[in-house]
Amino acid sequence: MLLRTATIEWNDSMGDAVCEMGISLPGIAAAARPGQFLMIKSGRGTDPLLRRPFSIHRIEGEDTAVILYRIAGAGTAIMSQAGPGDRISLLGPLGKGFEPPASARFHVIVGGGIGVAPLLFLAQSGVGEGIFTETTSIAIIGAKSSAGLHAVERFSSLHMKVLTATEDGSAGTRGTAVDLAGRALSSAPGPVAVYACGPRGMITALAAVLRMHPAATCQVSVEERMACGMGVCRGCAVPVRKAGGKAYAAACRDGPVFDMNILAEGT
Amino acid sequence: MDLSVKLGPLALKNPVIAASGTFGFGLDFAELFSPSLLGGIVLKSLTREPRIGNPAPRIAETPSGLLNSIGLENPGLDRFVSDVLPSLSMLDTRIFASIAGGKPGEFVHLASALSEHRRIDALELNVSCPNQAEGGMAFGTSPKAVESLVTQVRKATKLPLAVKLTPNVTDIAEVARAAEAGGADIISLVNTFLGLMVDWRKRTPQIAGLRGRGGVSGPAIKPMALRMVRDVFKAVRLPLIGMGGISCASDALEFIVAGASAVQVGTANLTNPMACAELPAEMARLLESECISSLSSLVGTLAD
Repeated sequence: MLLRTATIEWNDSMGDAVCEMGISLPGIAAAARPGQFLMIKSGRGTDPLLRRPFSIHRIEGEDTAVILYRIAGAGTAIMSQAGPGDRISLLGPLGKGFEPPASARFHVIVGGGIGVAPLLFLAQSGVGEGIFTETTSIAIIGAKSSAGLHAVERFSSLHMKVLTATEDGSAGTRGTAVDLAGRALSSAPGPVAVYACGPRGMITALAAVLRMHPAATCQVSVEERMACGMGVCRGCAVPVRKAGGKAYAAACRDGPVFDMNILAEGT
Repeated sequence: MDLSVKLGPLALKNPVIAASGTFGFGLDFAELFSPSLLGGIVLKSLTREPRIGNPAPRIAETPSGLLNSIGLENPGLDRFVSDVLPSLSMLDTRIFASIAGGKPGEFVHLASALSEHRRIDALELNVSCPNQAEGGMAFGTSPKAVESLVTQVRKATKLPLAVKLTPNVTDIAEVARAAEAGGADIISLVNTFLGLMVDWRKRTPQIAGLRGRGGVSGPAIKPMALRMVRDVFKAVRLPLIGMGGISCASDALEFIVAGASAVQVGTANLTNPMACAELPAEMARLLESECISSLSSLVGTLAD
């Protein structure tokens, strides 16, 4: 784990209020696992006060971490104004990432909107390790409309099969990523592993589809408000199932990637 | 520079203490720095039984602050003693156990049980948590209840006893006098300010909590906290541990001048995990630059 001041290499608008930031972090390729995140301080003062968590979107070379973020509030608005050479305070990589199960013979990535952020790093890593190939994996990316589809070409360039869906039909199949995931699950050979990140509604719909495929496993990266990112404050509580009742896990330390089966209803 | 301080019966090597709920059970930041650099650590509040805490979302950011309703999530006394306490044996710092409860008997039980363990150097009574339906702040807003509770806990322990006050009262000095009358050794102040953040589009509070209420901490509360430390300093003879928005050495020294003998750092740990670690050396540097030879000579020296 590291706390350091890092240099921004680039910070580009990708349209639809989404930006991509490259950050120089020597050794990050060896240190980070897909699904892990960085806590980034926007600005220098006390407002905004808290760091913001961002999944690592991809690693470039050995020493550059890339994040994909939506301008959603004051913190990300300040971040979007930064440029190459600017310095930011950063903590990470943090949290528990994706772990492709050894038993899986087919891998399905399901990303909704900005939820593709951690999944590209997973794809990059899975392809690099030879686990994800054109015949053993598929990336399904969905959004409300074409403007909300991100990183599609990046997945394609990894030589993965990529399918897109938009609710308004402006790109790919008309429908949702979960519709396409249901079809992929039905036709997949052998045990399937699903990796998902997206809006709450997408995860809930995916959970319903997965109930019809009880042999499939599913790992979900959740998004929660965080303060410390290190499991100290217990602020990023995620309701989970536990023998004898419910409990709360910390998204930052127990996650942000959880097995779908332990997430309680409604998350 | 000698930064050592005495809080009644308790000696600390320096005045910097990590505040309850922002430093886990002492070892969460150990990857970044040795907790033994600190004068003390107040552990996350313990209750007799385990608590799962309050529903999500539990936090929201405020201007220069943090609104939280964590709800005392903790493993309970037994699991703390069996699983956590042994890991603290190597630390060379004062360990304060923070205790909380819904009924006076729960505080008494915890105080008595924790006094059996030599690794615990002091107790801090959390009578100020705003996020509990029962107990917590309900004790801390009544001078009578505070005096009665402190009296009962005092009989159950010989450990140095700090009482952590809530700022959500009209006259905090009156509550401090009640804690002193009950037999407290130290007053810690302040806990969080009761607050509410609103999502006007959804017409909902921004956190779950009790009717969406939570406690506000961070730099935003520093002026109010300083005022209260000053008021309490004038009202009681006990040593004070000041807190509320401290994130750097000059913040800490402001509390010392207002009347605190030591300080706690809370929310700053969450935004900068090195906040506490850097503080003792930085305080020493600032004192030296002003040719002040001892920290204790500065306590309460504010001109009125």
